[in-house]
Amino acid sequence: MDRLSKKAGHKTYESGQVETIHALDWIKDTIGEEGLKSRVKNSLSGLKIANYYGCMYTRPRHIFPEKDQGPGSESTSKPHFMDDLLAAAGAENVDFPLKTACCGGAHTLSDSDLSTKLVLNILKTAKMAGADVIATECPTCHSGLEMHQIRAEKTLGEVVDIKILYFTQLLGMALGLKAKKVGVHENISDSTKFLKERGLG
Amino acid sequence: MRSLAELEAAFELPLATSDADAAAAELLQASEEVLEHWITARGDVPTSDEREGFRLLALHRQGAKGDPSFNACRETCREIVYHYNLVTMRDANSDITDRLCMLAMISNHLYLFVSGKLQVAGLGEFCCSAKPIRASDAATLTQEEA
Repeated sequence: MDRLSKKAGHKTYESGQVETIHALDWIKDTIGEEGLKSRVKNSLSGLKIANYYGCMYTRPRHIFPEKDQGPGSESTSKPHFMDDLLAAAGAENVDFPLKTACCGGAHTLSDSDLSTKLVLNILKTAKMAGADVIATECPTCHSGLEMHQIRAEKTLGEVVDIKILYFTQLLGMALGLKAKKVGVHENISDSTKFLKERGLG
Repeated sequence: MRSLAELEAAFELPLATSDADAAAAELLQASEEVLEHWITARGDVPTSDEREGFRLLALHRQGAKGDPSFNACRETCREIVYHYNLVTMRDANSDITDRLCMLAMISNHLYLFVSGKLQVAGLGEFCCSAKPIRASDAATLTQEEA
C-alpha cells in the first residue's frame, strides 16, 4: 500500500481519515472555470448540452452542509457545477427542467417499462430544450439513459436522436484527449461519429 | 379525483389549444391530482393549503413527510410551477407552444415517478398485468394451506 501511495504521490490514507470527493467538486475547487478555460485545446463550442445530475447528487440535503451557501457553492435545488465546467470548456448549456428528476434506475429490475418511460421522457424533454447531448455525472443514470434509449427504440418504436456522454468524457476531449482515449467507443451508444463531425474526438 | 389512467391521458402531447392559460391550469390541476393519489394511498387527506401560492407545492411537502425519497420529485414540482408561470404570465405576443409542451412533459414525469412510487410501495392502482395473476396464485395457495 505504501508503495502504491508513493507512486500516486501522496501518503497512505489512514482508516477513518478518507474523504470522498465528487469529481465535480474536485474539478471545480482545484481547477475551476478559469483554470479549465486556460487548458482548453478543443473547445466544445457548438455543442448544446442538457446537464443531467439525477436525483442523488444533491440528496438528502442535510448531508451536504457545504451546499446552498451562496455564491460559489453548489445549489441543491438548481445544481450548476456541471453547467459551469462545461460552459468553461465552450459548451452551450440549454435550460433543462428535468436536471434532477428520477431516471427510473430503482425500477430497472422490477418494472423495466416504467424505467423506459421515465428515460424516454427525459430524452424527449432534453431534445425539446434544444440539446444535442445529455451530460451525465452518475454512472447509474448514465447506464439507464443509454440502455433505455435503446429499449425505447426496440419496444416502443420511439427514437430520440440525442447523445449521452459523461461530463468527464466531454471535458477530456476539450482538454485535447481523443474520443477513444476517454472511452466514448465503450459507451453503449457510440457517439464517435457525432463527435468527429463536430471536430471532437 | 380522476384515475391514474385518466391522468396519464391528460399529459399526452400534442397540446393543440387556443387557450394556453386553460391548458396550463389543467396540467397543474392534473399534477395536483397525481400527488393526491400518493397522499390518499398513504391514508392521509390531501391538504387544501398552498405554499408560495401553489397547492401543488403544499401537496408535495405533505407527501414527503415520513418519506424523504419523495423529495426526488421536489424540483419536478417546482419546475411545473415555474413553467405554469411562464405560460400564464407571458406577454401577449409571445409564442408559448413550446413552454406548454414542456409543462406537459414535466407533469408527465411527475406522473411516471409517482405511479412508480405507488407500485413499489404496493399502494393504489397501477398498471401491472401480472398483479391479478400473482394475487390469484396467493389466494389459491392460502386456501390449499387452510
